[in-house]
Amino acid sequence: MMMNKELSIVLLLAWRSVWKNKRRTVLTLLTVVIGSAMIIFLNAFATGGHEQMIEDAVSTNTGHIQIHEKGFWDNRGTDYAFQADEGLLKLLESDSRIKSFSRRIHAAGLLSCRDTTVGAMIQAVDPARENEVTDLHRHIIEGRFLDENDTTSVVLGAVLARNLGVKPGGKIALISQGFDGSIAAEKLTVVGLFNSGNPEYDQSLMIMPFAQAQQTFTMMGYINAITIHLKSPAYTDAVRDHIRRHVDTGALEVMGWDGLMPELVQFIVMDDIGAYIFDFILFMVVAFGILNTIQMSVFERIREFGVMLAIGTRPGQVTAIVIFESLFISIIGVVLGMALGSGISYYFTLNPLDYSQFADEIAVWGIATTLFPAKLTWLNITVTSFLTLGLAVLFTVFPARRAAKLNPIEAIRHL
Amino acid sequence: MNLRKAAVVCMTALLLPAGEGLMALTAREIIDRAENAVRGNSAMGTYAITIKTRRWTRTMELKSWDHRSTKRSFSEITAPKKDAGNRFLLVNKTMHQYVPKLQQEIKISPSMMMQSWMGSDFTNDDIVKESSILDDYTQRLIGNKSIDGTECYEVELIPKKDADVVWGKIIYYARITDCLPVRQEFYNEHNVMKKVMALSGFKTMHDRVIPTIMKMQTVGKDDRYTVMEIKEIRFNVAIPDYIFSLQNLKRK
Repeated sequence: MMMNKELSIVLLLAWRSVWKNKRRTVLTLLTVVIGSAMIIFLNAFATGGHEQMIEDAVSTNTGHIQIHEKGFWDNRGTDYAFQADEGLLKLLESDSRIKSFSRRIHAAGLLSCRDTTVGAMIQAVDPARENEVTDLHRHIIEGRFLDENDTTSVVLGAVLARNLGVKPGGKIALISQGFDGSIAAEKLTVVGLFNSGNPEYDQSLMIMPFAQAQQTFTMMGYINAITIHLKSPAYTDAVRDHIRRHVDTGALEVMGWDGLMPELVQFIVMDDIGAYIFDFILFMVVAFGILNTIQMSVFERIREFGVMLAIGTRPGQVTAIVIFESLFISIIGVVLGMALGSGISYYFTLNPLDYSQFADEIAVWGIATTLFPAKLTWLNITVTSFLTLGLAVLFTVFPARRAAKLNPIEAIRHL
Repeated sequence: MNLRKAAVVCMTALLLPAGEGLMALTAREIIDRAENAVRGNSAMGTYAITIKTRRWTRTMELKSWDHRSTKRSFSEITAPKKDAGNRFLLVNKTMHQYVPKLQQEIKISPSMMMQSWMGSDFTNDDIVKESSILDDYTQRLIGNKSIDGTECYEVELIPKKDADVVWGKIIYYARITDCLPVRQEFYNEHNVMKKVMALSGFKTMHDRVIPTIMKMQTVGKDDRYTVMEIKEIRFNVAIPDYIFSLQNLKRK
């Protein structure tokens, strides 16, 4: 009981001193509120932006997981190919975490239309399944996407088509090399153009039907890749490892999106480092704001502490009073900051920042995302709150100890 | 260029009035002799090109007409059946490929001259020879080096500023005895070696001794290479103009 009473006196004294100098407290509160709100918002913005970039990259073409013959992803040659056996296909069909998967053939070749010849990346897909694996069909700006009955019909990136001088309905010639080393050549009809926003695809990607590519490139049943789209990106590692356990990993490579797009992962890591540095600066601003306030408040009350110590208050109690004072300010600040930060974040979740004006500048990084939404996570809010409180207490220890160590006789006489 | 060459010749003549055999060759003369020997002013030949990749090995036969002085060349794949009839023509610095399956010719733009020819380790330029190591590069003799027991001149070729070539540097090893090439190393603009061509099978073809086997390998891709073997060749023969015509390219 004694302890409780003592504690309540300490808390009361601390609470009173919080409001003794209202203007200073309000200013400090503002620092804490704005600081923590900004940290929460910036983190939410980074999280949301990164998830969006991954989602865009995955859904445009890459998928969450790909299976190839070992070495394909580094060399991208048509001759890195494998035969997808029944067992593997059944494994993928039966996994409930997989939304869909599609077999692909990849090649490099020349496309020619009248006097113009342009190098292109050729990707053969199964039109019936591709719509569930990627959303390239939603980026068609002219004509249509491939369907199951197509043979020599192809879809081109809009920039590629412009460079070739061809429109939907137009004919082009393809020359490349077959899987057996022979010359692969075909006359093709362009049926649609896409604008994915990814400059690499728009400039150089041609999509053709899988069955036709099997013949054109003399694939003899071999394929270059299986692209898998999962029901949630969170399953990526688990499904990847699950597949790895069932295939010969000496012959095949099973890669998650992070392995498929290391440059995107690198960008995110770099961006995160930048954000951490900024977070650190903000935390320091908040911490020193609190330190400053408490320091001043202790300095102004030297006589008061002197009297308290003189009438028998223990130094530990004085320390506690000062620390609680700072804790009260930070708790109020953090709660308000959480509300403000979450509010701003939520606004940008509903109204993503539109960077499409800067699409060309962003494209330099190989990023096709132009709408950046914020995404709040509990982790972000919890970590920010506790770090702010922790720092506030940590930075108050020094002035608090100073108050406790005062010599009462000298302190009472202090002006 | 001619002035410079003349100057070089004059200087050499003045400084070394001894017999020609003793006269030191300039780097340009070494390359000039090598090219003259290997390509002549014109050449007509049959080649076997074997491409080995990690998955397959296949051999094609190629007939080729090369007119070095006018920078025209024409070649046609004659075997295997599947690829026979594909023809390649270089005129006016432009390469054309005729694809019999499409019954259509495709223009290969100059920017694609450095791309792989038919999936081999040779580039389009290596086959149709648009660029000239004599005129598009400046030659500098670095020294002598022994390549597989053969004493060679080591000549460095740096592209001229206005030359439309992709290599940043070529190191050309030519035998001291007769200036025939033994080895060529191709570097990119960052001075990293990308390809190596080893020449061997020196024997008399038509009226001269030349290397008949050229093995091209891409650095870092040890599981593949391309070998071009000269089966038959005749030098400095008159080649009628119609050979280098689009009609000849597209003939049925």
